Amino acid sequence: MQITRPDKKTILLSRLDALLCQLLRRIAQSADPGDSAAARARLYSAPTHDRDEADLIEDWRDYIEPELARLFLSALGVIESDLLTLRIDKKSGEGALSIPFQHLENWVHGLNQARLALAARYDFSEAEMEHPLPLDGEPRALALLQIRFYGLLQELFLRALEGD
Amino acid sequence: MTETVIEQETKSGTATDVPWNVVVHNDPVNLMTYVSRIFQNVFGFSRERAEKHMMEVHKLGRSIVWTGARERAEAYVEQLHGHLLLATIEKSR
Repeated sequence: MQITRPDKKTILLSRLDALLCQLLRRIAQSADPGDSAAARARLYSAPTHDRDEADLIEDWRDYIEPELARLFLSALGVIESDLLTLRIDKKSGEGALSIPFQHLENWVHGLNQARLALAARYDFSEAEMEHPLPLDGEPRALALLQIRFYGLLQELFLRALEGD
Repeated sequence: MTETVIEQETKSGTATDVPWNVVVHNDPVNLMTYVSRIFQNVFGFSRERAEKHMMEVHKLGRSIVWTGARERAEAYVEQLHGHLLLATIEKSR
């Protein structure tokens, strides 16, 4: 994979092999907590640990969480829209994706959401996330690969936003 | 041990107002650079101050990033949840 800045308004991901293209296309799906209570609890965490604040927790669930859900969907919608421009070269089989610089904040958010949801859904410990990748092809191995690839992209996009 | 840094706003509420802390909790998945950036964006911290709080979260498990009126504390927590940080409010002791 190669990341370049062809102009001030664009980030170009190129030389993407089939696996990386697949991982990019799975961002929104992975960010969706679906039926995972653990992923949902991580994305929509409680606003207080104070047991005397049950009203706040209830109001949060009723009024704030729907707003957060709209915010999260908005960022993922931008990513999905950008991914429609992912082009695969018929000869080499490699993909290339242009991302408008002004969409980078949405990408950083969506990648973060996907990493958090995956880590919660598969209950990865901190130690597991730091270990070398298991290579037996089980679903957890794919999830760990996603978390690491998305983390790398997130870091690179953050650097671009910081102007480094 | 990392020194605890408490950001405190000048009180503008009534004398009976109890100050509330905005606390950010550690999360092994969120990138440290990301957390630092969010602190800068939400609270207007300098990079140095944001990194100090981020390291406090990382090393001590939590950091009080703001103290003041409850309504504003809730608004900050909502913003932090919007960026998927683990944040809560608690009464300041």
